[in-house]
Amino acid sequence: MPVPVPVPVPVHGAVPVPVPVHGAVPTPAAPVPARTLARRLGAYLTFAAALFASTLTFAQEPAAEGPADAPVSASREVERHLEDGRRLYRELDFPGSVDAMRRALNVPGVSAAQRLEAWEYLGAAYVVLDREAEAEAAFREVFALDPYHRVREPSGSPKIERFVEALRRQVVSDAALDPEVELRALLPAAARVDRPVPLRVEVEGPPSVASVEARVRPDDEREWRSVPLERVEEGAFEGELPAPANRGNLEVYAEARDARGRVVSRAGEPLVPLVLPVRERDDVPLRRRPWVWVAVGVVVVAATVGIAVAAAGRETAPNGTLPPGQVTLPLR
Amino acid sequence: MSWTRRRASFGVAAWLGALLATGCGDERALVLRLETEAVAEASLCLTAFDQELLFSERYAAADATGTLTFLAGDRTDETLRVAARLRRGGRVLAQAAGEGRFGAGGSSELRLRVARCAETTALPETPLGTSVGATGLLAADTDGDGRDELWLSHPEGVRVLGGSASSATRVLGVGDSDDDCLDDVLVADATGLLALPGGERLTASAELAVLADAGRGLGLATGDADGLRWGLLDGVMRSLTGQPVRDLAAADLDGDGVDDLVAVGEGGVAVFLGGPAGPVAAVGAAPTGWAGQRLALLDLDGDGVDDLAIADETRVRMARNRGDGLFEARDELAIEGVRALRAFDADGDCRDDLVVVADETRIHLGGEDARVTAGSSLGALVDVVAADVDGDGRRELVLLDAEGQVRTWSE
Repeated sequence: MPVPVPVPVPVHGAVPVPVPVHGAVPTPAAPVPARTLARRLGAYLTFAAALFASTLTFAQEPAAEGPADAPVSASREVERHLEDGRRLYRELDFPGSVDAMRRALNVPGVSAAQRLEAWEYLGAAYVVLDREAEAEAAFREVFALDPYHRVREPSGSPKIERFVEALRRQVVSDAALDPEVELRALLPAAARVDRPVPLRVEVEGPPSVASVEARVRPDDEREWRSVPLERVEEGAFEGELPAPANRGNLEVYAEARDARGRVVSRAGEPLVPLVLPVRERDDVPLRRRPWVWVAVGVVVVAATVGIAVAAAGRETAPNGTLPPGQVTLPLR
Repeated sequence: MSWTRRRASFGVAAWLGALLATGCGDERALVLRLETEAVAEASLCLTAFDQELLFSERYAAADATGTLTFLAGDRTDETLRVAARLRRGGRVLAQAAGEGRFGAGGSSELRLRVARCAETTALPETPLGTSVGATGLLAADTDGDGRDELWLSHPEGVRVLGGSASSATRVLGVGDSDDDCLDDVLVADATGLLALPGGERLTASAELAVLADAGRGLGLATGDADGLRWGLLDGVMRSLTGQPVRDLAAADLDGDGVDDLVAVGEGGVAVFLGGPAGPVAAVGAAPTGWAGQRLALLDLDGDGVDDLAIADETRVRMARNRGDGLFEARDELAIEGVRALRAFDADGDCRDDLVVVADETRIHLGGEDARVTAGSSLGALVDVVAADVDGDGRRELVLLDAEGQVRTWSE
């Protein structure tokens, strides 16, 4: 059984930001050109040292995400509007919150999770403002994004909850969300490459849950994989998620259904999943890993040959200032 | 891990290191020095071409000044063709292209400047080919080599000049519909609208179609006797008006970064200003009482926003855009039987001039406040288009005459 530890709490808007991929032909990074032998020597040694240092860094921590200027700036702009909308909603300025959420929805590139939150606040604000037709349209957008999304209106207003669930009964046939049923997913602090991930889901509340299923995917894939969990005791289900093949993050959520197959409760959601970091296997010491020696060899030999090449007076092409800097043209 | 395996790993590494270091040695390279006019809301598409597309990348126009190095790698070619196009929405605002030579054992340079009013030399009058029976002409660079191909509408099938025919019969518009930095050509066949050369089916058939920047993506407007329709390329089309439409154009008329639409028919001129929820009718934006069959949006007075030209049975009328999408009537020309209105900077003053395709096709040079100051005659033509056929960054006027002959025009 896994040790119960806190899992990352899903936060609206805290979605992985896609890293932009240049349409260019992949190219290796090239050293900066040097005009003199001394400068060339310095450049190669710096390159070698940097490469060696990076190998040590890779051995300990996953690589940080690269720059993602355009999507990040769009995401920040959306987040700014969402924060305004949340604040105004808390301050009971519902028309102001509506305006802020509409601005968020109009930002190009707004993510599905951000749209979900914006529509949710819009719907709640419209219910408060007695604009029922607009509230219904907003919550229909919510259900289009995720039919089983549990609305988390900050004040816990029963009026809004009644409105949402009455509408959900009309448009989602297999939903029977029970606010008294809570799922708690217990995951290890991190997954390891090539090792299955134990998962335990505890159910609190009325005994209406007949089955629990986990859905999992690496964060760079679109398709969710279903993993049925087995009941191990009253109110507890367990199973193993498939072993991740690579480092990165796993996205997970669990879904409980009643005897009629209707969704009763969830831990995490498809658009706001639980996130589990995947790390390298930790049972192999650094000095016994082949890639460490390969990296050391590459650094040493590249530095040596580089110095030799530089000493022979060979020229290298300059790196450009426009991304990706250099483009190696493919062989026809 | 045993020492034997460790040594083997080190040996493999040595090989890789040697390859890496050798690869960093003498490199045949072409360094592109790119200078781009920073036009708001515009993007720059950069492509490299040598018998096939080798590279394409899109940059924000404001960030598209700098250098980029092309390494020949293992290619034996001596030259590389590089093209840069400044785009906003579906349209090209400016372009530049050139051919660079890889350094024999080092780097050489290619300089390109992309600006809306770059100085270039005009191509002398040159015959380009013949397509007997062709009924219309459009220009598009669909392969990214920096030279426009000429697409011809033809009753026996749309074709590129000198190429084979497709099943479609009419070329309607040009734009980058799939965001790959290459022009796509909108054509109509019996079943609907297609984007060539990919063949993606867009919507039901229509007489007219234009691509427009909707702010949140690319939109498509279509028009015919049933009215004007609009939708995002990946969305649902909705009706903007049921009034019959005879001609249609899109441009950012109010400077908000979102394209607006103008449609004309016998019932009048309708202006739709683009916004977050799509185009909205701007009542009273066009001069009252105007109607017609053909229209063009072009910057006649050089103030950076497009003005309006409308042709009816007997005349061409022009209106100046105040800068907010509202038009003031200015001038008119008495010309009958207008088949098309086109924009083309004939005199190189960075202002559009109006080409009126009629029984006697004429170019009217725009002046201050869109007043007509001069005109020149080209004879009887079927269609004309502004196209960069030689890839030097300057567009030439290309003429299609009644015999199907296609040629560039020179004063």
